[in-house]
Amino acid sequence: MGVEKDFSFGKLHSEAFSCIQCGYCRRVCPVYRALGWESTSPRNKVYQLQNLLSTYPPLANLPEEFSQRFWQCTNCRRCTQVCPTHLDLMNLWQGVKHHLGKKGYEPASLRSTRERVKRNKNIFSLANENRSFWAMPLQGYPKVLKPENPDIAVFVGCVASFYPLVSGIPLALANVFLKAGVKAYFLGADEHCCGNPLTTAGDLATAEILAENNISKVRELGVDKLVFICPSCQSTWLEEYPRYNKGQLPFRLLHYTEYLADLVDQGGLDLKPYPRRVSYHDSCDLGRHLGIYEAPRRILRAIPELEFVELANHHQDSLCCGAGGNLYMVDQKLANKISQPRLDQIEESGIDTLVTACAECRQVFTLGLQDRKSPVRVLDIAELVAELIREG
Amino acid sequence: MSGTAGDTVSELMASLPPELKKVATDSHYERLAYTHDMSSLDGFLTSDWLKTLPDLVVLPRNVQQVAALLKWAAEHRVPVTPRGAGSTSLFQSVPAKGGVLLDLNCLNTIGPWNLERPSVQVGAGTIIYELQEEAKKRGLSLATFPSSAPVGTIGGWFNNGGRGYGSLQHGSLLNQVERLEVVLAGGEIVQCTHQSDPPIQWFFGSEGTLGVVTSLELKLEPKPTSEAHMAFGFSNIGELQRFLLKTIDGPFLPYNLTFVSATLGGQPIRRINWDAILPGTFLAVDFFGDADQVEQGVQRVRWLKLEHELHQLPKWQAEKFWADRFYNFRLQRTGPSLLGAETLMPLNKISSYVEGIGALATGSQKPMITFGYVTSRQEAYVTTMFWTDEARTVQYLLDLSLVNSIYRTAFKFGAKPLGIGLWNTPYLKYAYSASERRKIRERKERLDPSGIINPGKAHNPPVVLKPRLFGASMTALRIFRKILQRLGRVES
Repeated sequence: MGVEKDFSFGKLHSEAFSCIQCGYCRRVCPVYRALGWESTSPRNKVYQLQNLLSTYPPLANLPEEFSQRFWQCTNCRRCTQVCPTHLDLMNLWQGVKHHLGKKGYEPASLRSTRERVKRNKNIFSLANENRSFWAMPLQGYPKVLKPENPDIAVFVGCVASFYPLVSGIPLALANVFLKAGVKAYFLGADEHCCGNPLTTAGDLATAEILAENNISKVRELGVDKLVFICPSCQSTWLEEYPRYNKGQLPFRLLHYTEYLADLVDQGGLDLKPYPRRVSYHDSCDLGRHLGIYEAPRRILRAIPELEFVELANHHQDSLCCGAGGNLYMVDQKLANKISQPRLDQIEESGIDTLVTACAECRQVFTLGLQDRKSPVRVLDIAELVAELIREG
Repeated sequence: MSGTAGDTVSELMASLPPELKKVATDSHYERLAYTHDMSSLDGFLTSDWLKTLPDLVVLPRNVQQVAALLKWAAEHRVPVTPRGAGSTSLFQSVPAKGGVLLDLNCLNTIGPWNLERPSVQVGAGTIIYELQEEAKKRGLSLATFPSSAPVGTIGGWFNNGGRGYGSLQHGSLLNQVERLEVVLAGGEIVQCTHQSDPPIQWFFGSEGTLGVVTSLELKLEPKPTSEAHMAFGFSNIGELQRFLLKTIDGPFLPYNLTFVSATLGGQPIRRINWDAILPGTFLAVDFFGDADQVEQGVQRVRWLKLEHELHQLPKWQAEKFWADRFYNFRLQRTGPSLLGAETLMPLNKISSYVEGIGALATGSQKPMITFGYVTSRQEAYVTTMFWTDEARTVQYLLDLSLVNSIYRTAFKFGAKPLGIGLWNTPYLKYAYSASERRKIRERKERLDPSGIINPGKAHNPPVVLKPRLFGASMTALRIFRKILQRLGRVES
């Protein structure tokens, strides 16, 4: 079925040769800024791509470093944002990775992740039936996760479902929904990986099987809203799934912060005061990609006595945490190095609490600030709201 | 891409002092990244007669490492090519003779600040935009900045003559530099002032051929508290020039004046793709300062507007044009490729030059766009561009002869090429007088007698870029292009 994006060599050639090699992308690329070598810059990636697309057959005899540099990317979209010739560099990176994956040029860690996804339907070596173990502390578990006639369905994502450090996020959100009287249906074992690691590596056939399962399970519920915890999963659904579905999906895709912000506006959440200095970190996927900047801030502003301050870089200029684009999986050392400028900004801001809305950012900042012995508390918005919500 | 044999490269790497090995690489893939700048000529024109592939790349973290490298390079007689952002297009920072590519981007410290004077010390690899942002946080501002500020390094800009927005009021970057740290061939670290021997001026605009600039102390201005932007449309370039000369005829100068002429046969070229819809010939006037200064400037220009019965464009268009000041490269999107020439043009010759370009555009059936900004009461930094397709090698090669034609048109009106690097070496005599060229040669002899630093540029170009041979080649290409054009085999 026609699920291919236009990653043809002709399309890649036309995009790559529209690059004027000005280098505006260098200043904002977190990988280049962390490593310093010109070969890591988006500009050079395009230059090397131009060379390799000019050979016949294109992209033959790839140098090992070519593949390595392309996988060293957090998908933060800053390069696309600043490109004066408006190149869709994200699409170019995705196209190249698609060809690299097909040719077997992918990092071992990504290859094994793909294998795990095929085998277990999630990115970890864990049985998919255990997807809702995070919910065990909930009163009424597991029945409470599957209400009759649900208002919404919730797609948790692999990281928040399985990774202990951030599994408090879905638990918090489930508690918020229960207290607010929202009938939220958590897909649990019916939820399969969104397919992001597969589409990234060009394995669209397997990604399609996962997508078809996910779409049909949500469709069966008859809900008109699917709420996401992970912005990266939401991006994948938004960009890839309409093609798998051969048309628009029959339900709206929302990030949970959008849903909670609407609840706040409607007076559906009664929140206790939080007399602290708080800042919010815009994640790359939720911000630059999905364009959701205000919903998290609306929630925070609704919390009594909370003093909200912006970090030095915010909204579309936010800095990357380093974990995006599967980089945490591919090169954890580099991901940690990339996070340092943001950790500096967090510490310099004088805040007590940093709030995020992305499980990966939450994880990176928690560990990074622990390493620095920083007193700054890191929470997901769902966790903060769960802590402050009064019984409905 | 011509380079040195693998064994020799490994030997060079092995001979580096231990403290440099940590910040050096002989990876072929890494070295390839430095064989070009914004220019795309490297693919088929740089082969045997140029050695653009460096043997090693070194990414120093401090001035001591730069000094150690230059000492080692002198001992081993290895060429060293310093490089900032590599955002020029004349190969100023691309090796011509292999050796070491010295990437200075990690020398990017900002501070300490002196808020009283006010001034700041910055590493040569500091990105100008970032420096400006840091200055703003302290209520300060750079006096001038280039249109390439989001990528350009302060050291690179200094080495390339440092003109930009604000030069009309404040002069070039040279006026803002109070002290310069330079590593000379042999590894000696010197601190230069305007009075020292050698003085700062020797290195300004020297394109990294005399020494490696590692840090600068810059004078800053108070951050402006007020700004205003105006833009005017003209029916022809002559009217624009008359108005432009009037606006700078008086004690008060605007911060910036930018002009654009994108017409062919009097019709605007729509493919220029400015975000704001603008007429084919227009002038933007920008004011910065305190509220009184800005108001005075605006009033004066309003008065001139009435006197000249001009069509003023809406305020939002003028503001949008200023907001897009770093984005001239968007022209590329209308490509597929662009070629062009940058010159310093006497202000009173802009009109004649643009008319000359119009004739060239019509004769060659190539739409051309000319734009520029005024850098002093006498000169403007002028760029003329046209569209081509670098993927079509023969067509592209023939179109290169038009670049030469643009330069020849500019020289006829007293313009100078903006930068020499490698590709403009045939035009050296237009950039410098005979006595200036002699002085530059003497400085090179004194500071770098072995020719270690950035060799093969300017005064010692490869044979094919010697003016006579180059001139003959361009004439041949031009004639060939005309013949093909008559036969309908050249695309506009």
